[in-house]
Parts: sequence; C-alpha cells; structure tokens
Amino acid sequence: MGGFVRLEEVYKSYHMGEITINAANGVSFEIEKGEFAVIVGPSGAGKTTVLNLLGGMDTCDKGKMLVDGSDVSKYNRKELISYRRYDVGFVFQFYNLVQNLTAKENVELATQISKDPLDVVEVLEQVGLKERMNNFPSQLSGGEQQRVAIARALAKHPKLLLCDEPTGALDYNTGKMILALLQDTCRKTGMTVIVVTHNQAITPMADRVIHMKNSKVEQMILNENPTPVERIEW
Amino acid sequence: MKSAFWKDTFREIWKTKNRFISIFAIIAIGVGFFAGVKASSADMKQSENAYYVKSHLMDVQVISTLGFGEKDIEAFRSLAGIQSVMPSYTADLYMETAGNRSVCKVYSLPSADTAEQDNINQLTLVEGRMPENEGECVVDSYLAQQRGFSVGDTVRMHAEEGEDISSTLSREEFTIVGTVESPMFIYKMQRGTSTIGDGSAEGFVYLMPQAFSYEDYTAVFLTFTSAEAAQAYTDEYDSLSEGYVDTVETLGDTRKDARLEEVKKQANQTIAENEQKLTDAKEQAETGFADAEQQLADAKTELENGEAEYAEQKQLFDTQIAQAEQKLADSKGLSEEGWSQYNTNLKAVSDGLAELASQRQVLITTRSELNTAKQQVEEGKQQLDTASKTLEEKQREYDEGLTAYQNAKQLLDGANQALQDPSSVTSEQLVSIQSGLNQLQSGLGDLFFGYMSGNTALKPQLDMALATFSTTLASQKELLDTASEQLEQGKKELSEQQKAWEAGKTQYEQGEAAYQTGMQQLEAAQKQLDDASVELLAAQNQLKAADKAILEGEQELVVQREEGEKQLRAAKEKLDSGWTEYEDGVAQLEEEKQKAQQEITDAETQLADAKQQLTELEAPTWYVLDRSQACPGYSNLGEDAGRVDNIAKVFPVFFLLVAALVCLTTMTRMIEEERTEIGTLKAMGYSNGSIIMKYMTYGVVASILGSVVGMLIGFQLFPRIIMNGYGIMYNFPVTMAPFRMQLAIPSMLVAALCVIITVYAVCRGELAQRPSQLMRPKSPKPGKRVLLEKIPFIWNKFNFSHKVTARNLFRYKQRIFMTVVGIAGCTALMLTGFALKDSIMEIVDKQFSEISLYDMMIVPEENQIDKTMQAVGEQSLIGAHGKFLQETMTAKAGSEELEVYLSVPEQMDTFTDFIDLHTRKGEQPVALEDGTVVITEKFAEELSLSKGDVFTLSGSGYADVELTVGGIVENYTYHYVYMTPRTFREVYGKEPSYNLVMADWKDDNQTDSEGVFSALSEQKAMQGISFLSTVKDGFSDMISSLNYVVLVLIVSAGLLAFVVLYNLTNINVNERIREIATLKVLGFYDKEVSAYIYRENVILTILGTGVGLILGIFLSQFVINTAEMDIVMFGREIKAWSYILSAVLTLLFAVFVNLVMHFKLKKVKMVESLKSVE
Repeated sequence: MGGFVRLEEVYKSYHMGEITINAANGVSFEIEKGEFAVIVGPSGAGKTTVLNLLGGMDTCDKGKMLVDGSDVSKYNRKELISYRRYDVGFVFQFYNLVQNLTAKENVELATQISKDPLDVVEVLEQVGLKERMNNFPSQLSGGEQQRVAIARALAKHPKLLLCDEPTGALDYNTGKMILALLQDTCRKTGMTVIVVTHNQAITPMADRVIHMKNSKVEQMILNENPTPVERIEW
Repeated sequence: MKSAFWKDTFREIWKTKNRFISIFAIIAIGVGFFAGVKASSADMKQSENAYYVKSHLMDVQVISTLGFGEKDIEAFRSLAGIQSVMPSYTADLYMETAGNRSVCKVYSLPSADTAEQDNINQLTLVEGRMPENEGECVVDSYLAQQRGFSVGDTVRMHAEEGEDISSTLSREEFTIVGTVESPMFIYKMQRGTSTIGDGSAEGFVYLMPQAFSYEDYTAVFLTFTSAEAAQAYTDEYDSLSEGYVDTVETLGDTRKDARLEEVKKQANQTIAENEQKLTDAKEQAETGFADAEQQLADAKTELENGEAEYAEQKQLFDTQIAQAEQKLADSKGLSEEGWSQYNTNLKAVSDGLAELASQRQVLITTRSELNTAKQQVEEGKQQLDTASKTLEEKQREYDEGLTAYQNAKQLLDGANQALQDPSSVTSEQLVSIQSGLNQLQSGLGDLFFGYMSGNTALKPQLDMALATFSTTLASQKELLDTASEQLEQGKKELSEQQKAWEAGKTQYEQGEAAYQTGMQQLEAAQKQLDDASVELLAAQNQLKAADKAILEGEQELVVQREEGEKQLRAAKEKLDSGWTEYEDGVAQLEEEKQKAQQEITDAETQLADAKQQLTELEAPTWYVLDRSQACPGYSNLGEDAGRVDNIAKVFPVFFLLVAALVCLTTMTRMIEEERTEIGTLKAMGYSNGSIIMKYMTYGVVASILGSVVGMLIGFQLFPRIIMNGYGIMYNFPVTMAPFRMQLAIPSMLVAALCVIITVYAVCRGELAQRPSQLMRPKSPKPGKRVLLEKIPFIWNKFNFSHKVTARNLFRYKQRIFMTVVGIAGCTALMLTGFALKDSIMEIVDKQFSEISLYDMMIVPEENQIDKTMQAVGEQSLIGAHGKFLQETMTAKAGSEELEVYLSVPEQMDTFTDFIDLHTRKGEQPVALEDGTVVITEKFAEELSLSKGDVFTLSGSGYADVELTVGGIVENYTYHYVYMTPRTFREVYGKEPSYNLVMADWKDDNQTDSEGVFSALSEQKAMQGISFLSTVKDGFSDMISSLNYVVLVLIVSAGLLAFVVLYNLTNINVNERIREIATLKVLGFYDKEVSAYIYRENVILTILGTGVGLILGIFLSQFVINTAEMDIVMFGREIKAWSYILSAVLTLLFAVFVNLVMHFKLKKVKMVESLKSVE
C-alpha cells in the first residue's frame, strides 16, 4: 500500500456538554506525494477536523494517520509539536499573522525554529511580496497577508502544506491568485498540498478530490488532467 | 429590561467567572483592608469603652491630704450629675511570697452594703473567687501570671523595711483566693506609680475593707450620669471629664474648710481625751508609787526579823551537834573495851580447841587399832564356825556310814540266819531281804531269793557272794572306826581353838570400853568449847552492832549537820536575796518614778505638739484625678489607637486606589474584548444605555459583592488582628468589631463608582462607532517600528521573541502603563510597610542609645535641688550627674506654634554625658554654643526652621524672646530647645532656676534603680524619678505592638500584589490567546511559548518593581509623615533590606503567577482559538 498520506478509519468526536459530535466517523483516504488534493464538502462535513488531525493540532480517537510512513495518531504531545514544527505548514482562512512583526519577520518566525528552512527573501519573492516584505500585516491587503501566511508555511520547508479555506476571506480574484500560488508551489516544488474548501468549483484544479459528507469520505476522485486555476470560473 | 438581556449578563458573568472573581477579589481585598484598617482604631476604643461601661469604670478619683469623712462622702453624693460614689481605702505596699516581692497598689473592695450602683471599677474574676473574709485577697491576674502566684498562696503585705504596717492594715498575712482584672488597669506594661520601691507599681491587690486600719477613707471614686452616654477617648468624653474635675475641685474648695474643722474637732477631742488620760495616768502612777514604798518598808521589817531568827537557829544547831558528837565518842570507848575482852576469850577458846584436836587425833588412832582387833575377832569366829561345820559334816558322814553298815550287817545277819534257819524267816522277810540285798549288791538279793526259793544250785555262788559281801562289810567297819578316831581328834582341836578366840575377844572388848570412855570425855570437852564459841560469837555480834550504831550515829550526825547547815544557808540566802530584792525594788521604784515622769513629760510634750500642730493644720488639698491620671495606660490606649489611626490615614487609601486601578484595567479590557458582541447588540437595536447597563451590571455586581464580602471579613479580621497585637500591652476583655456604615458606604461607593465610571467611559468610546464597524474585527493595532530598531547593532542581535517583546511593550502603551502602575503600587505598598517598620524601630535604638544618654532623671522637691544633687552624689553606683532646667514653652514662627521643652544644663562640660547632639544625616556632632540655640529636627520641620532662622519662645513666667537657630539635631521624641546657661542669662536676664537632675550609672552593668529610688525617697530628696530603661521599655512595648500593625500592612500588601499580578498576567494572556495559538501551530514548544509571553511579563514586573520602589519612597514618606504624632518623629531612613525584600517579594509573586500561567498556556486550544475572528 502506497500513499504519502494515508488515513485509515479515523474517528474523532467532540463533547460539548451533553452533546457528542462525531466530527470524523471512520474517515479513510490516501494522498500521494506531490499531489494537490482538495477536500471538499458542505459545512460540518468534518473537513476541517480531518485537516486539524492531519496537521497535528488535534488527536484522533481511533484510527491510523500515516504521513510519510509515520503514524501521527500515535504521537505524544511533544512529538506532535515537533511534527508541526518540522513536517507541516498551515495556512488559515484568517491568515493569523503576528501583527507586531513585518511580513519578513512573520516568515522568519517560522524559519527560526525550522531545521532546514528556505531562504526567507526567496520565498517572499516566490509569493510575489519581495517589495512589501518590510511591511506590517496591517499595511497589507488580505491577499497579501494570505500570501505572507503561505510564505510562512512554505519557508519551513514542510512535507505537507495544509490550507483551511485559504480563500474564504478573500475576494474572487485574490482567491484565484492564492490558489494559483498554491498549485504552482505544488507543481514546482513537488510539495504535497491539501486544501480544504466548501467550494465545489475549484475541484477541477486538484489532482485528487475527496468529497466528504456527514463526517465520512463520500467519494474520492482522481483527476488525470487537472485544470489550471486560471481557467476555472465560479 | 428584557429577560434575555439579564440572561446574557449573568451568563457573561458565568462565562468569565475567572475575571469576575478577579474583580471581586481585588475589590474585596481593597475595600476589606481599607474598611478594616480604618475601623481598627475606633474598634480598639469602642472595645475598651464597652469594658469600661460594663465594669463601671470611675470617671474621677479624688485623693485628699486629710482623707475623707462621712460628711465628705455625703457631699459627693449630693453633687449635681453624680451617679455613684465609692469611698475606698488605698495603700502602696509590698506583697511578698516566697522570695518574691512586688510593689502593689492595694485597694479596698466595696463594702458588703455598697449598692450595686456604687460598685465602681468592678473586677472581673479570672480564677478563684472573691474574698469572703478579711484574711483573703484577690490579686492582679497579670501579676499572678508573671510572678507565678496562684490561688491558695499566702502573701505577706509590708511597708518599707522597718516601717510599721499596723496603721495601714489590721493584719499582714493574706490568702489569695482569686485573680482578677480591673478596668483601672488595662495596661499590662505598667501598673502606675507608687510611693515605694523604685516608684512604679507592679500590680494591684484588693482586700476586704475590714483589713484596713485607717480611720478615714483615703480615696473616693466617682462616676457621673452624663458620662455613660459618652464614649471614652472621644472629645465629648474628654470635655465632660474636664467638667467633672472642675466640679469636684469646686466641691473641694467648699469642703476643705469644713473638713479642716472636722479634723480639728476630732483632733481636739483626741487631745482632750489624751489630757484626761494623762491626768489619770499621773494619779494612777502616784498611788502606785505610794503602795510600792509601803510594800518595800514592810519587806524590810520582815527581813530584819528573819535575820534575828536565823542567829537563834544557828546557836541551837551548834549546841545540838556538840552533844551528839560527845555521845558518839563515849560509845566508841565502850566498844573498844568489849573488843579486847572478846579477843582474850577468843584466844582461850581457840587454845582449848587445839588441845581437843590433839586428843581427838589420839582417839582416832585408838579407834583404828580397835577396829583391826575387832576384825581379827570376827575373822577368828568365822574360822571357828567353818571348822565346827566341817566337823559336823564329817560326823554326819560317819553316822550315815555307820547306819549303812549296820543295815547291811543286819541284812547279812538276817540272810545268814535265814540260810541257817530258813524257817525262821517269812516270805515277806525274804522279799525285804531280796530288795535290800539287790540294793547293796545287784543280783545278790535275787541270788539269795533264788537259793532260798529252792535253788540250791546257787549255794556256792551265794556263799561266795555272801563271803565277799561280808569282807566288804568288814573293810567298811574298819574305815568307819578310823573316821571315828579322826572325828574325835578334830573335836578336841576345835575346842582348843575356841578357848584361844574367847581370850582374844575379851581383850578387844576391854579396849573398846576404854575408847568409848575417852570419846565421851572428848565430846564433853568439845561441847564446853562450842558453848564458849557461841558465847563469843554473840559477844562479837553485840560489839559489831554497837560499832554499826556508832557509825550510823556518826553518819546521821554528818547528815543532820549538813541538813542543818543547808537550812541555815538557805535561810541566809533567802534573807540575802530578800535584801537584794528589797534594794532592787527600791532602785526600780526610783527608776519607774523617773520613767513615769519622763512619760508624763513626753505625753505633755506630745499634747503640746498636737495642740501646736492643730493650730498649724491647714485645709486639705484635694487631688482630683481623671481617668488618664488615675488609670495607668488609659491615655496610652487612646494614643496607640491614634497611632493606628494615623497609619490608617493614607496606607489603606492607597491600597484601595491600587485595587480600583487594577479593577478598572480589567473592566476596560473586558469591554474591548467584547466589541463584536456590543456591535451585535447594537445592530439588533439595543440602546446604548442598555448595552452600557450590561457591563455596568457586571461591574457593579462584582464590586458590590466584593465590597460586602471584603467588609464583612475586613471589619472583623483587621481590627481583631490589630487588637490581638495590642493585646500584648492592653487587656481587651471585650472585643467589638462592629460593621461601620460610615466607613462601609463610602468605600463601597468608591469601589462601585470606580467601576461605573470606567464602564461608562469605555463603553461610550466603543459605542460611538457604528455597529458595522464594531462587528468587524477591530483592525488590529498596527505594528510599529520602535525606536530601538534605529539602533541596528542592538536590534539585530535580538531574536524574534525579543523583537516582538520590544514592539509589544511599545504597542499597547495603556496596558503596559496599567500593569506597571499596578505592580508598582503593590511594591510601593510593601516598601511602605517595611519602611514604617524601619522608621518605628529606629526610634528606640536611636533615641535611647544614641541621643538620650542619661540613665535617670530626678525631679527634686521644690527649691531643694542642691539637696537632691548631694543625695545623688552620695549614691555609689551613680557617676556623672548634673542640674538642668527644663520648662514647657511655646515656640512660634510665622503662624505655626509648637509646644517644646526648653532644656538648659548647668554644666556644659557634663552636658554631653547626658545628651548627644548630632545631625541625623552624617551624624555630625552639633555644638551648643553661646548666643544661639540648638533645636530638634521635627521641631525645625514643623515650624519650617533652618539654621540661622529666628523663632519666638514664650512660656509662663518667662518673657517672650527671639532665638536664633544655631543647629538642628536628630531627635525622635518630644521637641527640645537646648540653650547654654550663659545664653539663658543673656536672654532672660536672670539665673536659670534648675529644676531637675540628670544622672548616669557609673557602670551600666551595675544598676540598682530600686536602691536609688528608696535611698532618695527616704532622704526626701526628690519628687520623682524616671529611669531611661523604664521609658525605653515602655517605648519598645508600644513599638512592638505597632510593628504588629505594620506586619498586617505588609501581609495585606503582599496579598494584593499577588492578586494584582495574577489578574494582570491573566488579562495579558487572554488578550493574546490568538497569537499564542499561532505560535503553537507553528510548532513552538511549550517552554518557547511561555518564554515568548513571559519576557514581557518579566520586563513589566521588573519595571513595575523599580517604579514601585521609587514610588514607595514617596509613599512611605507621606505615610510616615501622616502617621507621626506631633511629639514623635519617626525614623527617616529606609533600610536597604526593606527595598530588597519588597522587590524580591514582588518578583517572587510574579514568578509564582507566571508558573501558574505556564500551565494555563499549555492548555490553550489552538483550533478553537484560531477559529474565531478577533
């Protein structure tokens, strides 16, 4: 069995007072190295939960999560932090930049703790922000801030880039640009990228599309010929 | 208001319960502390007042130089406004138990018939029971505890050595039946002054009134009706008390003449009585002497008679003795004659006895010979008898032989006859012959019989046998004839022997007769001699008896003589002693006469003196004492409460301010955080007012709840802790810690107002924005480059967290300001606490070890200072001593006035032995020079004087003068103006009238304050003496209690610091939760996350601590200045330790809080924190 990322029967439930929410109810899928995968589904389908579990921000109740051969679900607290530190890059809907640091410094915040970071300026150049790298987040537009966030995630040189609704807070065009950036990064650097979105429209651009519904994988489609983002309209 | 709204509000409280509790706690601590500490002083006074009321403490004590009579008591009772009057007996005495002596104030218990109403200064029984008879007492429980007295012990009361106690008490020994507390003696450190010992009393004792032997009451205690409503230590009471004193003094003025008359009358009566007594005594004495003289004369006559009788008796005795002696001599002569005759007779008898003995010897020899002869005779008789017997034997033998022969012959003849004539014999004869023959020779008879019977064959045999037999018979006949011959021969011999024995026998019998005769003669002679001997023995006995009689006579004579002589001697002695007695009697009489005379003279003198005294008797002086004078420590408590109040003036206010500030920060933060919700509410159409109301409610609920809980605890806790501390010095039988509305309402209002204003201001700011703006995340405050970035060589060395820290510090200025101020406030409070401790501690050490160097201060009797100086000089333990003038004066400069002491030494050279003048800063000595004066520091401060300035000094009896300040010296208690005697003379134009003596021990290790006191008071060389050690101890006690208060401050400040730090850190973390989550997502380890946050906290804490230390200097100065009393200057230096301690404590709290935060940070959930929009 191959698969750079492989989930086997992953369960996760949250207890909110007396209510138990099964956020992941036996989720299984696999993603090959260097793939651009999209996890899509309606709100509450468990996409973000899966992403959080995969990103080491939460632990699953049951099941296996193999990333590059290691079982993340067995990691303890410290190992999870190390996993986040070295293996995963995260991009959020709301960027989550440190307001008190410039764009460059925000990236450096990540690189200073990495083992094998990329050159900060190069990465920023790659995301098209070389000119603005000394600006504070509040001086940047939403798209630019998200690009800084992507740069921060990339600069760590992670095995896995996880994006949670990266375009959710952005306008159409900026969102497209961000997706293009992510797709490009995947193609150029061979990094495995997983994007969680509720937007069905962007699925054609992915190598692999995982449809989730009711905390389960409903369908997994391999796309032999992914469409470049530029050609997708929604 | 809508219910959903309320629900929202209370759910908000529940949701943010940590913050709510923070606000609540800070307000509770702030308000509780403020209200509690503020209330302490009033509670102290109120508690003690409650005890005073309960135990009916006196308002006024009156002492009179002439005591009080019943009329005085009546006068007291009729005073306007009087409530109770309790006349008492008082004394200062030593109370002694095994090796333990204490100076005690002795009081009488109210007599049994005293109305409950009039029972003033009621005692509280601690142990045992109250006295029931005059031999029992109750003692000061504190003294009992200190000295180990216990119920059941017997104590002895006595006055100064050698003084009689009987004029004071009717007995000396008392049994302790109980230990008590008295409202007059709430001050444990001192039991007031005494007239004995070293001048201070150590305890008090209550006796039954019967135990006193005074005639008049020595003290009267009074209470007034109007005093009941006025609380002790209030101005109201003080002015009432002044009024009472005036009233009683006025009464004293009216009563004193009457009392004088009364005493005079009494005295006159006594004098009259004494005069009568004297007269009686005189008469009695004279009668007595006359009797005695008569008795003496009688005695003399009797003695002379005795003398004569004695001479007579002696004569008689001598004669009798001489007669007896003569009689004895005669008897002795007779006895000697008798003895010589006796001896002659004795000789004759003994000679006769000797002769007799020799004769007896001869007779004994004869006897022996006779005995031998007798024996021979008897032996001869025996031999004769034997021979005769033998002869008879032989005769019989012969006779038997003869008979046998004749029988045999006859048989043979018969046989032969038969043979020859067989017919002549009958058969019977034949048979008889046969048996007879058989007997003689066996077979012969049978042979014969056979033959006879016809057997003639037997004839030869028979013939032969008969022939043999006849031969045998013939030989037997021959033998028998020989024997007959021998027998005849023997008979002849025997008869001859018989004749010879007869002759011998006759001879013996003749000798025997001769012996018997001799023997008889000897016995007769013996008898004669024996009779003579008996007679001699009788004579001897007679003589011996006579001799014994003589000896007895002699002995008796000796005894009788001795007896007689003894009697005579006794008689003589009796006579002699009679004479001595008589002479003694005469002398004694003379002496007694003289003594009586002397006594009479003395009594007359005394009477005269008494009369003189009576004429000189002055009207009594009444000393009217209010509580502060009569009850030791009464005013000290007021002063100590004042000190607490002084400290409570500023400190708690500042405390409350810090609390309010922190509370304000918290509220601000909260509202800012809830911006979105405010926007939502507003968008839904809620009015600004109701939105404000939500936060207002939140804040007000927290602050009111906090205030109420804080006050409930604070009003109890702080006054009790502080009273407990003062319990070392004062007795607090009643503890009152009431809820004080006048403090509660303002502090609650302050707390609530603080919140209300904050909420209003912050909400207004937020609500000014449109809802759409509010609902969108507040544009994050832009990051800014800080000045530090312009200095690349520092900035470039920073890593990110350093950079973030630096930028953050400058980004949220308000937050930083609040944090720094909050921490600084707490540090400042702690430093102030420590500083207070330092400055208070310093007073004792510096004032009594470095400034006041004298060991005692003696107040002489008026105008008797030289006598005091001399008496002090005579004390071997005292070294330097010198005269001083010390007067209370008023100093004026500008509009300020101050009561000060003017102190002028007589000798400038010994001045430095008593007082060391130096500056506080640098401890430079300050010289007291002519022309200027030296003043003390607080004095200079109060009147804003500095060197070279001029002030006015005025005082009663002294002109107002202008003086120039020549130097300012360190001093902590009271205010002084030091002046040289020369300056004094120059300024006032007169000699200083010195009024006290200061003295030092020669050796500080050899002190005897009691000895000095008693020596000086015995010589009446002083009015009073105060020892510096006692003053110092008193001060130390006061200060140790104050320290307790300070400790409360420090602990409270520490607590506040802790809560504030926790709250501020908590806010800080809450605000940055998103940032923290981001860091965690990026893979920062827990420690790295904490460090990222802490760096800021640490910097802020250090900054706050630093600011706090600086702020603390000003705050402590302010607090100390406020807390200081007019007459005392607190130390002005804060010790390095206090800075270090307050800083270290703050930092320690910070470390602890951050440690708690670390765990909180660990728990921050990334997913949830990042999900929501800021």
